[in-house]
Amino acid sequence: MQLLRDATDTRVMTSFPLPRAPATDTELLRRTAQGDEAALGTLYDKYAGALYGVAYRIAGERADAEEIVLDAFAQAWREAGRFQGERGSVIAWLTMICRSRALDLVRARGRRGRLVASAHAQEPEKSPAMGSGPDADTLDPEQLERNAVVRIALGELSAPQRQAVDLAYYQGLSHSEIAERLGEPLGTIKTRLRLGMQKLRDALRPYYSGQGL
Amino acid sequence: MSDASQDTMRDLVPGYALGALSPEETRAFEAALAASPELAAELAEYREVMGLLAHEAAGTPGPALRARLMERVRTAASPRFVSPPGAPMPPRRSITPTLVGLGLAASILMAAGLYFKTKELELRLASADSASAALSERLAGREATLDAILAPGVQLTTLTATGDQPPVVQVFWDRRQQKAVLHTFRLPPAPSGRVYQLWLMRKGATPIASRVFNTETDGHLLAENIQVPAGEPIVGFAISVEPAGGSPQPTTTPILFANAASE
Repeated sequence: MQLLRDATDTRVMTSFPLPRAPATDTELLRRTAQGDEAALGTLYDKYAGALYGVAYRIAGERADAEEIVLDAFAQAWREAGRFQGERGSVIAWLTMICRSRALDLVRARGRRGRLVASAHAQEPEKSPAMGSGPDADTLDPEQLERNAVVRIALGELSAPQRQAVDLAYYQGLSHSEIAERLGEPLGTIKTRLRLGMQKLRDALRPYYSGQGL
Repeated sequence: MSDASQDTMRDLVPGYALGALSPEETRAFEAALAASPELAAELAEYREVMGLLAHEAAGTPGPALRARLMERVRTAASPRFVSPPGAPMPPRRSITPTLVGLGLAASILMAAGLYFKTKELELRLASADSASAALSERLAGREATLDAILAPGVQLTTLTATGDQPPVVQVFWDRRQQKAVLHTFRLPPAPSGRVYQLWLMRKGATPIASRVFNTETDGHLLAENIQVPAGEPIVGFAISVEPAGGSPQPTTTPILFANAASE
């Protein structure tokens, strides 16, 4: 499971493709929609770590993050039948649910100001949403490889692009809120965020293409 | 949609996926999205990117969480059944074809219907609670700002320039609380790579570097909790254009300046 990266080429390459099992995930969700608890359990085993990481970085507390993950999977259980595979992958759908719930919780509890102030006070590289990597002892090899691929793609962004993506993704800040926070013109922030996301899309496309798009 | 308009909407896709657009941009984008399969496909791509980004933050929830999830779904009965196109639903349970059985089945269906209706209402309520909490938070923020501006002893200093439509900056200084609120209008956003900076002007000494800020495209900004140190002979306020991040001392001539009212 070795990641390879050509120093002269900014594209991300892996020694083998990431596991792509759109049919498997979609099938698991279809079975979930039919009341199959084991299918939901399999999805949980596969993606709870990723969702927990997102929830933790947004909410900032383990207990909150666990409740968010719990609620997200419970919502997936209730609404699995509404999932439309042609619109995207299962993990994209689950991430959207989880991120939305986490941001709602933080906003409702008024914790956003604290998180923003914290991010503002720190260098981009040290912001809480860009913490240390996952624990290699607790994540399975597939999770570690996905994590590595995404980190390499993020590494291709300039520091300001990454900071903007981070503030939008993990703190749910709007363009104007980011501009205010960083003291930059709104147009600069819009361009920065758009270019950063485009760069991520281009780098990660090999890993999601074919997943129902 | 014209090509130019389509390009504009395409530029909004990443921001929409992240929820970073303004309400006006969101409305415009959603109107365009409804009529454009290309935009929908592009949006789906960015949602995939966001799904993959989740792996960057991967962690490990507590071992008991899985059991809690299973317990919750067991007590919550079956999920809402919506058959995917072309996917026949398997029979879930056999119902004895007797009147008693039919009555029981009807009761079960009614109970299930009521259950799902309750869950749906709970979800709506949770969503409304969240929106209400966010609104309350904003209102509380506005009230705090009003309190700060209207508190006894707060001095207003207005910085402006000449011309028909000059920019205006108001500084509400509460000497007792050693804080100030800054409000701008008609102050266009600073040039690319530059920001505005507020300076606390001292008699016979160098200015004190204060809040770095930028304005919205409409020229507005409200900045609160600006610290104004006690014991300093503050005689006025000035605004200058500085490099991003601000400067310890002004590097350009202030564009706006006004003396503060004496104590």
